[in-house]
Amino acid sequence: MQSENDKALCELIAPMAAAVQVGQFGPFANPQAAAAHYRTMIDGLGALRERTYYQPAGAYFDDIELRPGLRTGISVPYGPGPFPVILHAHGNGFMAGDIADYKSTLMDFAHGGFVTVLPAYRLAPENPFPAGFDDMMYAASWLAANIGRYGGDPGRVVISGNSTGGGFAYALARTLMSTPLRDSLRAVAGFDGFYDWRARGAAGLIGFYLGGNLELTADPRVSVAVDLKPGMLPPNLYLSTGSADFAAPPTLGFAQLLRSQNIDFELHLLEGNFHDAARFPELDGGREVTRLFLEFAHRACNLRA
Amino acid sequence: MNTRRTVLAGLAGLAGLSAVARLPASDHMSASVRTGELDFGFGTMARVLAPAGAAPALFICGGHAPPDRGAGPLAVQCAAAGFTAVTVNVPAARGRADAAWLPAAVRWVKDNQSSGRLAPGLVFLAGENHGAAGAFAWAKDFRRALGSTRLRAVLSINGNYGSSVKAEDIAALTDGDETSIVLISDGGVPDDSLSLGRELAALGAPFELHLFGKPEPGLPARANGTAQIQRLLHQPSAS
Repeated sequence: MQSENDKALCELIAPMAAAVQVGQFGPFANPQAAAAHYRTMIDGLGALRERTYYQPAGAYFDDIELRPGLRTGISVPYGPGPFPVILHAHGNGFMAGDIADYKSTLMDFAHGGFVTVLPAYRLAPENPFPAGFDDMMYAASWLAANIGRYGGDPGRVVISGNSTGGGFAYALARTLMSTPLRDSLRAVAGFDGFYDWRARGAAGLIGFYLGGNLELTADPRVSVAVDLKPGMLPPNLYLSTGSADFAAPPTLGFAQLLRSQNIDFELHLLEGNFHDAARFPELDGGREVTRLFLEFAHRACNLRA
Repeated sequence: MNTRRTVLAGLAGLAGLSAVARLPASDHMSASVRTGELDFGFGTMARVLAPAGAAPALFICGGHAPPDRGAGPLAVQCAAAGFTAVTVNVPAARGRADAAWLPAAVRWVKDNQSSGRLAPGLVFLAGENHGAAGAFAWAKDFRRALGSTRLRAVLSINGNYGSSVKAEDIAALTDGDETSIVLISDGGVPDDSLSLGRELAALGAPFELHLFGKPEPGLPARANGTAQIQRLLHQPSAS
């Protein structure tokens, strides 16, 4: 049951969110047309987000260059630190999204006590998989060596992501678990994510993300659910979605897979929340998702919530 | 047994508000609470924990439990969270076929709302483990019997539903945005919340689901359930 506040806002936002869903899964003849349509929709939502407020934080850097062609946003909490770190994979269908679009995410997570790193990874269809994935892997290794300069503790890292970034974050965490960085990974979190692209086949954006090679949907760096076994992911897992979110069935399906593998996880499904609701902190339900996530992340990093 | 008389007798118990229960600090309950016993007739007994003021009633199915057993700890937490917790011994096995206690319970609600002992307009229903199945089994009839008083939410904690609970019936409760469905589990016991959630999602029903995979001290599903219904209480709905 949504609050008065949420119902009014959803009436405003839902048609645009629905349009984005068409952009994700609709029949586009070529990647360029899909990307153009999708980016137009995202820009529309971005205009709405100019109304979005965010929490204060200690510092916000909107353009840190990690290597040529790869920039990141970094936000820092107030206080001396060191703070645990969140590496966030943004969503927007692998085809859109930038640091400025996610300022509220950066600020809210920093306000919640985390140095937050949000890279502008390369986007499809111009840069198909694994370009963006490699960028995020690089950001993780950069973080391990450099985040101390921003007050972050490289020994306590949470990977998170929203929408397509949710499955992206899980796939990234799974891959990092096979590297020396594994000991620093405390948790992984997906908001409104997609964790198994095999069932979606040729439909929509995944084909553009994969440069047309749909066999790659069976790659665990694309579909984290593929051959997933205990021990392949960090020790703390978080999933969230909403009852009005088209990502609810994939999220619940992934949760069922985790349960069948006896892998512990935490799941929150908020009544009435539509896709990516956490990106709208004007929504009571959106703020609740963020609150639950930060509470989880603090527990995972052994901090007081 | 005359139902009206038994309810009045129960109210007399609740009216004896001088009784003060001192509850363990571990239950986060430091304030005094009013206690009472109710007899809804037909063998249905209830225990009341009422905080100060006119708090909304929250009926907890599954046991006429003291504070330290059965549904008692949940009642303690709910009372601490600002609800008048009413633990009722209506085991799920009795199911909807035995709804004789409902008129008396509803009358108790109305009378206490009229007198200012209960918050007006809304009531909550909850259950833990098998009691959750009971809560869902009674919800439809309870809502109908409440009339203008709204059944604001049904809260299930670590629910074991078996075959007595149908997703279609639960989804029907959400018609008109009148009643929220909240499923919470701490993963510490086998439970059916996730599978029920998938069924509700397939039906397009609005609901809440919170699963905590690693129960730890200070984070039982019970406490989070209380937090969530507090959120519902303080978050006016659109309907």
